[in-house]
Amino acid sequence: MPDGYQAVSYPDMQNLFTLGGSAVYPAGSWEISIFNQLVGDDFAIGAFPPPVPEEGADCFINDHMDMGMAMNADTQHPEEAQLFLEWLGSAEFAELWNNALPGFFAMSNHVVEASDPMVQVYAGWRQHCGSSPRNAYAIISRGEPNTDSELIRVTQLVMNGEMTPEEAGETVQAGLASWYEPQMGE
Amino acid sequence: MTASLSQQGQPKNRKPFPLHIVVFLAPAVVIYGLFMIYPLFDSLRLGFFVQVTRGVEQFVGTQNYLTLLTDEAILQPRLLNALKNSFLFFAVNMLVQNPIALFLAAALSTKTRGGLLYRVLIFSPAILSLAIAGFVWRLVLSPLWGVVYDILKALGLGAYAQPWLGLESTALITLALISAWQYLGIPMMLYFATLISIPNELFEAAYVDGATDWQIFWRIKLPLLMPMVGIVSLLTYIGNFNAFDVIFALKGADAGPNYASDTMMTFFYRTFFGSGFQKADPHMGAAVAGTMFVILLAGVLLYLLIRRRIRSYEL
Repeated sequence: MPDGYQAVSYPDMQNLFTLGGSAVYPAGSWEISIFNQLVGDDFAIGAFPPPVPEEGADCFINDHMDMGMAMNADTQHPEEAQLFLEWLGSAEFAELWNNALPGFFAMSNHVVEASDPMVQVYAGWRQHCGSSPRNAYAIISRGEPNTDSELIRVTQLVMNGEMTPEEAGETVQAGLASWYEPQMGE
Repeated sequence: MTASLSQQGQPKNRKPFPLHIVVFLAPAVVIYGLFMIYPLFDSLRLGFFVQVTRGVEQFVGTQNYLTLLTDEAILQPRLLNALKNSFLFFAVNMLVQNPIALFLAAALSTKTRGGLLYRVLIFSPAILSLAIAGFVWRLVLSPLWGVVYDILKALGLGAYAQPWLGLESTALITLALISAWQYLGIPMMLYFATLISIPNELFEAAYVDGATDWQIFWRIKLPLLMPMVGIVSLLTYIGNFNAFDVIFALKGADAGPNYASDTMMTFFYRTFFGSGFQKADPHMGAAVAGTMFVILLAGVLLYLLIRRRIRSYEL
């Protein structure tokens, strides 16, 4: 990490990487189009999945389900809505979507030939890695303590060496169990 | 008793009710009442209710306040942390901004070459948008491209360069100093206006008596400034105990790292409006606001008590 990493903001971090000031940048596929634009042909970038604890252990890719689509149960046009939803799940939509927004993936299992090599790399991990959910979105962050904020807070403490990852996990779990009914009494 | 007796004894030629006073007062009273007094009391009222279901409130007395003060898991430690930070933010401004403003005003009130320019320059940050001032300071203090680091390294003091905005121990003080820098011009102008209103005869008489400039400052200027020192202190208290914008602009609503820069206002903001995915709780938020109101009121009353002890001189 760079000197004074405690005060490095997210845009600082992007600039440091795209200006060639850092070699490795922890990110998700959402950065692909930003980096393609900022880095251009200055240098080649690649990607590797999160390291696993020991060789041969299962790897997991975090899926951010930020764009789920659903039908309103009271809709006046159920057939039309269903038709649209089916199209959203089709290979045709997946190809359109994955190529129009490099780094964002349609939520279907169709294998799409992406024109962007980085997108292809990310998509390839899905073939052999499991999927892990976005851990604090959104219902489990709607109480006090807010699980999403807690994750940010304890992650900073872990990165500063003031907390072990185990303690961080226990803190977040205890916070969630204090108000979220399905986790209470465990 | 005697007063009421003597009033009864007066002849009954009472003037008609002064309707014009009511008419002239009405616009101010209505607007002030509608937009200041009513919201204040309504927010205090809100703190004594909880939401049962959507749109249905229930009176619970002081339960919200009791929860706020006794919930040892979350709310009480956050409240105490925010209280401590708010007082620290105020203290830094009080002890840094006030004396510097007084010093600058005293220096500029003497005949200084380019005094007007200095006054404009010192005052100008106060009219800057905080979003811009905060952004500039974040760049200046950035450990990656901040000019402060280059200067310190050039002076051989590179070891003292710290990511001040990102450390738990220094984040709040750094934010308080940024705020003190930005609004330095306002107390300076208040002191300046008071100083130039002091008649020159006093200084001339003191010179004739052989007083030095130093003595004139301590024996004449400062005593005459004391009422303004009191007002500026009160303004500093109200303005900085409520500190929000600089923290929100630079550190966000979560006031990191690890709530090290969390003040009463950011705590209130998260509780009342919600933050990130956290649901808004206007009732608990109103309880936080009520607590702040009591603390501010106590400070103002303290000022009113102290003010009587400050001797003011008629010129």
